[in-house]
Amino acid sequence: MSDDSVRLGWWLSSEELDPRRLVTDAVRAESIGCPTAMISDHLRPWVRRQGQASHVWSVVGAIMHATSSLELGTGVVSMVHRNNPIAVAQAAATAAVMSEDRFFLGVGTGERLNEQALGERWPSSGERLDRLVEAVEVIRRLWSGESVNHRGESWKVEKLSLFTRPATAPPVYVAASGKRSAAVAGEHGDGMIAVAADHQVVEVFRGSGGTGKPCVAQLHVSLAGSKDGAVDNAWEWWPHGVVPPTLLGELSQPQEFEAAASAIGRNPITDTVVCTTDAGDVVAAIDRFVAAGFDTVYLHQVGEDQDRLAEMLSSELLPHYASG
Amino acid sequence: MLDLPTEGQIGDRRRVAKFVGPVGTVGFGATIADVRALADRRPPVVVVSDGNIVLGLIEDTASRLPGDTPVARLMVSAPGTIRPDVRVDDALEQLRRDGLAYSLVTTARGELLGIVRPDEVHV
Repeated sequence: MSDDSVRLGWWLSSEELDPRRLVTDAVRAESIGCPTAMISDHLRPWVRRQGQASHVWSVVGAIMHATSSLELGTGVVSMVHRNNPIAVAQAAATAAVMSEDRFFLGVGTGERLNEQALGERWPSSGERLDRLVEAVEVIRRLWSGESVNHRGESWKVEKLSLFTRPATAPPVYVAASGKRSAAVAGEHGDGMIAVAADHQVVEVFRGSGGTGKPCVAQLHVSLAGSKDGAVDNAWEWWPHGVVPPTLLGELSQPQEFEAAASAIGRNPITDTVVCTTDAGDVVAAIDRFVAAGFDTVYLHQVGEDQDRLAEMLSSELLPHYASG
Repeated sequence: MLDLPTEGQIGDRRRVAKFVGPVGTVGFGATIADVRALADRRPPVVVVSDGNIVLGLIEDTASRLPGDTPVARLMVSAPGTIRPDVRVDDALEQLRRDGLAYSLVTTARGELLGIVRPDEVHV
C-alpha cells in the first residue's frame, strides 16, 4: 500500500464564478498549500442563477501565468460537437508548455446542455464514449509530433503535425460514472475522475488497466455560518444537485434543470452536497472517497463564498491530512 | 463426523478453492495505524468480525489517512464475494467481463477464505 498523503484539490467552477475570480482563487489555492486544482468547462451554466460560463482555455492560460507550482486540469472537456480532438490537442499542448508540465487533460462524454447549441443530433452515451476513445487516440498521436492522417468513425485529420508541444505529453484523465466508462478510463486513460465514492467504479478502473494510475474525485460542499444557511446556499447555487445523474447529461437548457429541480424539491440536496459548518463532516466525506480507492479529492464550494473554503482548507483540512 | 472432505477441497483442480491466496485482514475496531502495521498490505485489506465474517474492505489509498482514523467509519461495506466451489474458468470469465482485478472468496456463511486474483491464476 502507498504511504503518500491524501491530496486535496480546489475545484474552480467556471459556471458559477467570474473568470477573473477563478484566477484569483487558483492563486489563493496555491498560496494556502493546495497542490492541485481542476476547472470545469461549460458553454452555459446548469441554472441561470449560476450566471457564468467562461471559455476554459483562456482561463487556463491565465492561471498558468499567475501560478508557479499549482497543478491544473480540466474537469472535464468533452469532444462531441463543440470541441474536436485537433483543437483540444493544440490547446492542451499549449497549456502544458505554458505551465512547464503542471497540466493534465480531463475528458468526458459531455452534457447536452453544452452541445445542443450547435444544432446537431445528441448521440447516445455509448456513441459518445466511442467518440471519446477515438478522440483520445488522435490527441495522443498529435502530441507525439507525428504527421497525423486519420479517417475514423467520428473524426478526420488530414496531414497535421502540432508545432507547439511539451517535451512530455500531459496525462489524460477520463471521467467515469459507471462500469463502462471506468473500463475506458483504465484502458485508455492515465487516470480516472469520478463524482461518487463508488468502489465498484474504482475496481473496474483498476481491473481494466488502471492499477497504479491516479484516481481523483470531485466533492461538492456548501460551507456557511449555519447548517440551514449551508442548505439554502446549496439550493440557491446548485439546485440541479437533486436531479438524477442519468438526466444530467440529457437536458439541454438551464430552464429545464430549474424545472426538474423544482419538481423534485430541495430535500435531496444534502445527498449530493455536504452542507455543513463543521470540518468533521467534510473529513468524513473525503475519507469515504479515499477508502474507496481515490487518492485526490477536489473540493467544490458551491456558490460565491469561496473564503470559507480557503479558511477551512488552510486551518483544518490540509493540516489534518498532512498529519498522516 | 467422518472427516470427509467437502465440495471443492480435493480432486477437481478447476475449482476456485485451488487458487485462493492470502489477503490482509483487520478487525472492526481497527484503525488505519493497524492497517499500516500489516505485513501483507497488498490491496485490498478486508475488515472481518471475530468469527472471520467479511464486513467490508478498504483500498490501498486508505493507508494515506491519519493513523487514528477508524476503519469501521470508512470501509466499503458488503463487497462482492464468490464461493470456493465455483469453476475457476467461470469465475475468471466473470471477473474479466466485469473488469475486476480480484474477488474475495468466502464460505456460504460469509467466512473469509482468501482472495482470487485473475492475474495470478494459470489454469
